[in-house]
Amino acid sequence: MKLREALAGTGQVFTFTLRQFLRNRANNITLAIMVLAVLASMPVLTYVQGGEAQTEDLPGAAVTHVALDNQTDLPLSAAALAQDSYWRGVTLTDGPAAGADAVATVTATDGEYHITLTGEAGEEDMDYLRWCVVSLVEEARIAAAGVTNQQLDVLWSDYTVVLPGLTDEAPLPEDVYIESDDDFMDGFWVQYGYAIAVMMLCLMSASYVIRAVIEEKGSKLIELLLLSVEPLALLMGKIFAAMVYVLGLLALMIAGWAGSLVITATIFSSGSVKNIIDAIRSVLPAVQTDPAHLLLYAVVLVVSLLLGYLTMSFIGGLSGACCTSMEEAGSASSTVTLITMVGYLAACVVSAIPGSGVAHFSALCPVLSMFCAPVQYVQGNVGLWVLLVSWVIQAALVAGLAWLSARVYADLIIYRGSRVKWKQLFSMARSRKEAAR
Amino acid sequence: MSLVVSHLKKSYGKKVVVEDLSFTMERPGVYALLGTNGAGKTTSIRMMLNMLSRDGGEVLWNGKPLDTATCNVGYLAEERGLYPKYELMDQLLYFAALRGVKGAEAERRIRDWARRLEVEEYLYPNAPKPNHEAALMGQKRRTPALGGVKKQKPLKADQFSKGNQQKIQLIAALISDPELLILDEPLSGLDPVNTDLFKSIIREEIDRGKYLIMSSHQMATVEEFCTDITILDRSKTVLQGHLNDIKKSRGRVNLSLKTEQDITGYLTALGVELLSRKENEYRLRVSGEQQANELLSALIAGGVTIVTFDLREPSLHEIFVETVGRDDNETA
Repeated sequence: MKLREALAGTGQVFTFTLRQFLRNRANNITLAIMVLAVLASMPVLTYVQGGEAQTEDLPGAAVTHVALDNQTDLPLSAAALAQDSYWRGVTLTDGPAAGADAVATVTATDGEYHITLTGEAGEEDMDYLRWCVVSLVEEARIAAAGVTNQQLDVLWSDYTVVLPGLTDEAPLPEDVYIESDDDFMDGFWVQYGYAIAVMMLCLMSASYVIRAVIEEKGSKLIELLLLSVEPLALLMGKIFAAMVYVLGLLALMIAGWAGSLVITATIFSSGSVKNIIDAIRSVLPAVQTDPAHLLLYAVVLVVSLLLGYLTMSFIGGLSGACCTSMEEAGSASSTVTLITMVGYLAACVVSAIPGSGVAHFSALCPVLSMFCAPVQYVQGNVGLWVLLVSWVIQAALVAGLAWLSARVYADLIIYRGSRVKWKQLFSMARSRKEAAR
Repeated sequence: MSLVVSHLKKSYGKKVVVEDLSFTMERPGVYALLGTNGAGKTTSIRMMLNMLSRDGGEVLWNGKPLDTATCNVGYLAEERGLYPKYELMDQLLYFAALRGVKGAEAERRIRDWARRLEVEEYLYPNAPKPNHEAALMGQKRRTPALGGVKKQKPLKADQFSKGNQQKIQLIAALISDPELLILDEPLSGLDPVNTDLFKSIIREEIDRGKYLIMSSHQMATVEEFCTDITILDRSKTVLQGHLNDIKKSRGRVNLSLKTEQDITGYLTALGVELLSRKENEYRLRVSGEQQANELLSALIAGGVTIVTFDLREPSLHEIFVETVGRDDNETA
């Protein structure tokens, strides 16, 4: 049977199933709770971690007027200081203002820059003003030299030097870079975060597919449906509907998370949000790269998630079809949960073990690769070709599961009786005579 | 148009569930697929419709393998159900779309069938009732726009009675206006009123020149519609052919007799088999018309008052029981 024939009717099944997912009251309540939880997450986290509510007691300058007297060619302006909440309510002017509480004068002689602070302001304000003006001058100098951020990244990037005979006991030469604990933790958090995302996607989507399959089987409608639709289309329609629904959920969660940041910024000082974003940037190297890399990483992410999703959804669909009633949904889900948890835990363990061999194994081993391959690639532990091979292996696994579904799904959904074991399922596939259909 | 089923076979491991089933429908009408429980009727239908794999055989519609591309098939399965928590209209539109009937045409057909099967008020709970109907209900007609009438939520399947659910399933089977209609136990579980309603629909489909295959344990109903039959017993075909021919071949051997006097002496003397007796009402089996005539002559000569004398061919029920060798509990 041609693939096109086998998938005829998938669109109708998809539309109907998705509509029912969206109309389901339990789904909508769950969704509302999740979005509310996400919206509240950042403010609560910030509060628990010591973020203070935005009140008049927030740190701020005691002075009322600060001036920046720029006597150089650098494009410096006091207005730039307004971005810092410390100077809120303070009058910021350019030039040698006579009535200012503090004046920062920037001069240049023989290629050197000098910053002189004068005025009646207190030590704390003077110190903070010095720090701010130094930052402004540094940024302006770099910009004046025509150095881009990308060039700065290259100049300041880490490097390693391997010396023959160097032992742990031997003193390290100066400037030799050693991977720090922070770098290791960054890699771990990326892997950990991605594994959680995959785990959520797999468990949520598989549970929707399982429920839809068992519900349909329990409705005793299957013969009516099989008259018009091939079994593979019946399953694929549900898988795609669950995928769109779950991805929609994730998109809402991301939107909720963004909203959560806005709420945090409103309630707490902007420094709290900045700290959160800085923390995220520090563990997501992709954020710091150029748009081309971002696009590549997005493609890697989408393809990897799609393959992982399809794998677990087919397993979920077959597990669901092995059951007869909704009471058995738990045991159907347990198969998916077990596989997902094994993959997730293994991915966490793998991220803690350095070495090229482990990275390659985790990127290529089926199931584990769902969790590890894209992370290993993004972190530079495996090359693009390893990622492509990993995708081919995962796609082959998906194709195998689709083939298995096409062979046994019709018999399974008509079957009534005790739950079919996976061993029986494989023997059904073997014994099914191809000439029959 | 013709339907040819030839040499269908199916087994699960060593257990044979259908063994070499063949039959042909050369003209429109009703073909009955009969058999005891577990004889293989439903399995045969599932194989015909490609829902189950076959171990052998083929099913041809106009010389081509039967599938939804070659034939517009409608099917009312024995195992019936609906999505319990989904709205009925959604479900019907979905079934229609799967059968290639979409949009306004699907809605028009659903409305027509809902009216004919008397489920319109459930599928369209907010549709304004005709004035005369409202008057009959002793109420002034009010529309939701005028206020006072609360808009009803569309019904879900689990709010429907079993009989009404069966009507929805029949709509699903008929929505595509099929050429070939397969009805597996169409009347089981229906009350007498709905049974008559379903029968009238079946009769209309026959009149419209449709091909029907019917499987049922209600022999009287099958006899009412069918022209040809196949009886299956333990996976094998044990009787097949045109129903009238089968009946003729059995001869007029069933005699129902009611008299004013006891006639057991006459029966013994002439060797007539007594099947059952209630006072002076007798169910008898004779060897043929000659023996029946001899009995009638003897009764008249003996001065016995005869109230009824009914000599007839065996009913489908009797043929069925005789053929499969035991009385099936569920035969009507």
